[in-house]
Amino acid sequence: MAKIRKIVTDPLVNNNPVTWQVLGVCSALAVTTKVSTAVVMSLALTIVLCCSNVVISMLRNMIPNKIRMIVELCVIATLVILADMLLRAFVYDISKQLSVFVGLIITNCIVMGRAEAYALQNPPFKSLLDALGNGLGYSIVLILVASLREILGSGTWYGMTVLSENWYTGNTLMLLPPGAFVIIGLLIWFQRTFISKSLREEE
Amino acid sequence: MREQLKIVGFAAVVCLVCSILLALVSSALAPRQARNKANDVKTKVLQVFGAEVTDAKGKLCISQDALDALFAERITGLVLNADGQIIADCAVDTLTPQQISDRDKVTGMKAFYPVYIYKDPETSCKQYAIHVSGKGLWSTIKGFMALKADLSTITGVVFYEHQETPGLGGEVEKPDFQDGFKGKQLLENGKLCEFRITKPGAELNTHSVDGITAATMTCRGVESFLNEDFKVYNTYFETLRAGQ
Repeated sequence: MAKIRKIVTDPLVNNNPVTWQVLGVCSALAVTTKVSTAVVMSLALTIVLCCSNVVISMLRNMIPNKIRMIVELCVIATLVILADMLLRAFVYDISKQLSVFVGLIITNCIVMGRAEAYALQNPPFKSLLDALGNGLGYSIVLILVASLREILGSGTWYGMTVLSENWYTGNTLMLLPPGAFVIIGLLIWFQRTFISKSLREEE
Repeated sequence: MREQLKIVGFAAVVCLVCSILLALVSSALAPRQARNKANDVKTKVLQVFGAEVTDAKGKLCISQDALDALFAERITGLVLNADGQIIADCAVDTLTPQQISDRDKVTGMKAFYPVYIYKDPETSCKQYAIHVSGKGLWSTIKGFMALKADLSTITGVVFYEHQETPGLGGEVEKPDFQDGFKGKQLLENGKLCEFRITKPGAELNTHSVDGITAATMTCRGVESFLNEDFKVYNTYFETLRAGQ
């Protein structure tokens, strides 16, 4: 039981896909100017990741080793296109905001990475948990970065005013991609120095 | 040899399953997606005329059927070509969002310039809306602008689509910027006058609005495509005014 729980909780902080494995940084830079887009991107990625891990895990004994990556890519691409079509049909407003980034889920290294590293060796249920953990780990970082960028950059959080425009001038750097680099860099430093210190020493 | 056959076979099956799945879902959802797109344009047009079809967050607050009905009841339209001539047998609601904003690479002109005419059910007063679009800094900015029956006074602007930096150029979608256009004039003494988006704080006249701080390039883009589009529309409006 403890082991199963660890599958989910480990990627949240200690083995976080963004700050520890440094995967999925591209989208973490792109969609984090506002919290609302970050939330939708997190949801979309988590769902796609869960589905792809389960499907690939179910096929794992059939997939010929030589073309396994192509098969993984095919499955992931199909799921992403499905997600994009569903968003466009049912939540048109949000799909317009995300535009190109939904397509970019395909290139998100986390999806491919988890399929390759976990789903190919483990049964569907465990793969699902692993996907959930990694998806949530990604979401935590994304929402954290987006919160900082939106508050410091535009003085709002999820569209609500936090820092009044009367006395706070938004920091433009935070709205541009370099701002996300700085924040993610600081997060990685913070985690490696303070939170995961013992982990590193064990290694 | 058997091994290879197995690999090819497996790949073929995966491809087949994936493509059939996608084809099914795509054809099942296509009408819904098309409707969303069309309704999005209708919503913006009604919005620019001041009809209350959306709530504070920009979500549609009436049903899609009600929207269709409202649009059909109050709005008629016609389509102009780049010379400001009416294109016969071309209805505004058959045009896709791409068609009304794509520019010719050589001439920089659009192929279709839609005009929407709004008739108030009570006063039967007419208003006109034009579609304006063009390059901002990073992306194509698209919007609608509503004009009074004099075809000169701006009553509202909605920029509904762009990919500018949120918080900078992205502020074009905010009421703060769009409200500045209200009451401004396209004409001076009957002649089309160049419209300006000035640096914030500069003195304004009836042909200029405040720009957005730290988004000079976006504002410049908006300014230039507004003027280009005004020229085309004004050619048609001249003929209307002459007839009045």
